[in-house]
Amino acid sequence: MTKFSKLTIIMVTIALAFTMSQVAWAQEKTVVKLWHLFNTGEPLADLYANVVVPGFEAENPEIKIELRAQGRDIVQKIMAGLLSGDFPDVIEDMPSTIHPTLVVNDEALVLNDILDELDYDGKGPFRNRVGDLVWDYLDRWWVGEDGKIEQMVRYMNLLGIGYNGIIFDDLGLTEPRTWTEFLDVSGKIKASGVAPIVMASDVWYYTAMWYAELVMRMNPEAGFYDIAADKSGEAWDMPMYLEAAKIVEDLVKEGYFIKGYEGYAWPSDLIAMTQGKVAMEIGGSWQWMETNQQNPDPNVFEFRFMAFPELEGYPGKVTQLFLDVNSSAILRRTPVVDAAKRLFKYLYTDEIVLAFQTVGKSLPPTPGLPGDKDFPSIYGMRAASTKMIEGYHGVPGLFPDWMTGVFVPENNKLIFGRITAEQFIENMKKGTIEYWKGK
Amino acid sequence: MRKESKLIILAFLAPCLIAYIVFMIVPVIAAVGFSFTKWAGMGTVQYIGSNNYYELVRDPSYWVALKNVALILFGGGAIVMLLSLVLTGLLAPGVKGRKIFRAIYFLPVIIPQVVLSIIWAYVYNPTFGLLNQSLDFLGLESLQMIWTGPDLIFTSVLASIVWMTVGMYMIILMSGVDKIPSEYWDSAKIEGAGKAQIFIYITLPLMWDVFAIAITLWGIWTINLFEYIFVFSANQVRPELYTLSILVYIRAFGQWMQPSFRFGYGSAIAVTQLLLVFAFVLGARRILNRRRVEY
Repeated sequence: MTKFSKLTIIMVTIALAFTMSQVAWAQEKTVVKLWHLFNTGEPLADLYANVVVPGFEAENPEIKIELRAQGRDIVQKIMAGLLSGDFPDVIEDMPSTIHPTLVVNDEALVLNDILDELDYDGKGPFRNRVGDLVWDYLDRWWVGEDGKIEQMVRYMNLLGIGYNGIIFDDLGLTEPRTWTEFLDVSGKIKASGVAPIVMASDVWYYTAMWYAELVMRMNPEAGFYDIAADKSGEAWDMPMYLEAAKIVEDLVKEGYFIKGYEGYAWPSDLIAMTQGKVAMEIGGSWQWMETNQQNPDPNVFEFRFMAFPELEGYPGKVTQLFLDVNSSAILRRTPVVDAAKRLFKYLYTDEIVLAFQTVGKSLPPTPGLPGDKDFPSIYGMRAASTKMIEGYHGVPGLFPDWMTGVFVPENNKLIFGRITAEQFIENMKKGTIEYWKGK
Repeated sequence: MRKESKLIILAFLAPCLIAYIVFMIVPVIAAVGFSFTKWAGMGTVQYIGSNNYYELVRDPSYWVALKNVALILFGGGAIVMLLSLVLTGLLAPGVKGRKIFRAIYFLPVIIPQVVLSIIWAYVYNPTFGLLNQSLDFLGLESLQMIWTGPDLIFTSVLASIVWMTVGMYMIILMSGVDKIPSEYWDSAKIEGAGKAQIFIYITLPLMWDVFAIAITLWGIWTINLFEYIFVFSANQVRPELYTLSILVYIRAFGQWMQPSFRFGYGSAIAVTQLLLVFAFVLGARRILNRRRVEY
C-alpha cells in the first residue's frame, strides 16, 4: 500500500468518525423545528436567529431548534411540508392565513390544555400571558364555536394611518380625530405642495383598507363581515356602504393621492414617504420598522401613527383599535409535543415579548409591560383603547375567495378611479350573490 | 431486428421511459382525477363531479387569464415573429458583424427570466424607474406614464416579454436560413431579384418548417407562462397580469395574504390549460403544414 493510500484511508476514517459523532450528538438532543414568516435579513428574522434561538437553547441544552425563515408564503411551505413529512413543530404567521389552512384542516394542535399549565417561568398560569382585551379579541374572531383555541396572539400591530411628523409639525397640523378633520388636514397638506396620501397599489391589503376601515367605523361590530357573509347580497343595499364608496370616490376625485399612485409597487410608497414627497399612508404600525429600513433623513421624515378617523354620526370611535395580529401555533402532527410546548411558552416570556416590541414596534399581548420609548404614540393608543377589532373583521381569513376574487378587483377599480361609487355597489352586490351561488 | 437487439434497446430506453411516465404522465392523469374533487392538499378527497368546471366557467379571473394568454400568444407572438423575421433578414449570411449582432440580440435569452423580471420591474417603476427617469432627462416628461398602473401594466409586461424572447426566435429562424443552399440566392440575384423578393419568395418558403416549429414553441411557452410574471409582481400578482399558470398557482396554493388551498379547482384550470396546448399544437400543425406553402 502506497503512502498516499494510507494517508487517504486515515483521513477518510477521521472524517467519518467526526461525522458520526456529530450525528450521535445531534440525536441526543430533541430537535424542534421553528418556522416563521419573515425573510432572512428582516429585523424580526434576525431577532429569531440571534435572540430567540440562542436564548432558548442556552436554557434548554437538551433541545435544539432548527430555525427557518420561510417568508410570507410560509403557509404554502407548511402545507407542502405536511405532504412530504418535513413540517415545522411551532410556527409564527397571521391568523388570517393560519385559520383557513391549518385550523380548518385540523392541522393545528388544540391549545386549551396548555393555557391551564404554568407559564415558562413557572410564575402563574400560561393563560395570564395574554391580557383580557386580547382574549376578548381572540374569542370574537379566532376561537371556534366549540371553544377550541388553536392559535395564540404573539403581538399586535395597529392598523391606521402612518404619517410624516416633520410635515405635520411644519404645517402646524394635529392628528385628525374625525373624517371632517382628516379632509381638512389633507387639504392643507395638498395646498402646501406635498401629496397628502400614498399607498402600495400592488398590495390589496393596502388598497382595500380605505373602504374597509370606513365601513368598520360605520359599524364596528360587523360592518365589513356583513357584506361578505350575506348570501342574498341585500346588505349592499344599506346606505352606509354607498356612503363609504362615495367617500373613497371623493378622495380620488379631489386628488389627495400622489400622482401615479396606481402604479406604486411596494416599497415605492415607503420611499416616497421617507423622502418627504407624501405625508400619509394607510397601513399599520409595522411601517415604523419598514420606513426606518429606508434610512430616512431625520430632518425630512419622522414616522408617527394615528388611528383611522371616526365618521360623524356613526358609532365607531378612534379608541376602538383595528388590529393586524401575528399568532403562533403548534402543529398537531409534531412528534416532539413537550419540547414544542416549552418553546411555545418561551415565546411568551417577558424577555422575548419585549424584544419583539423593541425591534418590531408592535404591541405585546401581555398586560403591564412598559411601552417602547421610541414609539410612545401607539402605547398611548393601546392604553386608551376600549376595544380591539380584527382588521377587515376577519373576512380575509373567513372568506378568502370572496375577499380576493370578488371584493378586491372591484375595490381596485373604485380606488383607481375606474368606476363610480354606484357602479361599485352594483357590481359588489352582483358579485357577492354570484359568489355564494357556487358555494 | 433480432430479439436480442430489441431487448438491449428497451433496456437503454427503460430508465428514461419510466422517469417520463412517473414524473410526467402520472401527474397529468392525477391532475385530471383531482379536477373532479374538492381537496385542500391534505385530509379527505371529496368527489364533486364537474363542479370545479362549472365554477371555472363563472369565474371572472379565469376569463381574464385566458384573455391575457390569448393576447400574449397572438398579439405578442405576431410581434415576436415579425421582429425575428426582420432581424433574420437583416442578418443574412454575408452581412458584416453578423455574429456580433446575433450575440447581442441573443443576450436576453441567456439571462435568467427571474433576473430579467426583477430588472424590468424596476425599469418600469413610475417613481424612480429607469424609463421615466430617462424620459425626464431627455426632456420628454410628457411621455412619462404609470407603466405599472392597472391600465398599462399588461402592455408593459408584454413589451418586456417581446424584448426578452425575440433573440431566441431569431436564432431559431436563422438556423432555418443557414441550411438553405446559397445557390438559390445566387440564382435569384442573377435573375435580377431584389433582397425583399429573395426573402419573400425563396428564403421564407424554404425555412417554413423551422418557422412552424418556432410558432409551436412560442405557443407552448406562452400558454404555460408563469415565472416571469410571478417574479415581476414581487408581492402579489395583479389580476391584470393573470395567466392560466398563475391562476393555477393562486387557486391551488394561494399567495401572500390570499390563502387558498384548492387543489381540485387548480387542477381543473390546469386541465383546461393542457387542452389548450393540445388544441394549439394540433391547429398550428394543420395550418402551417408545409404542403400548403411549398411550390
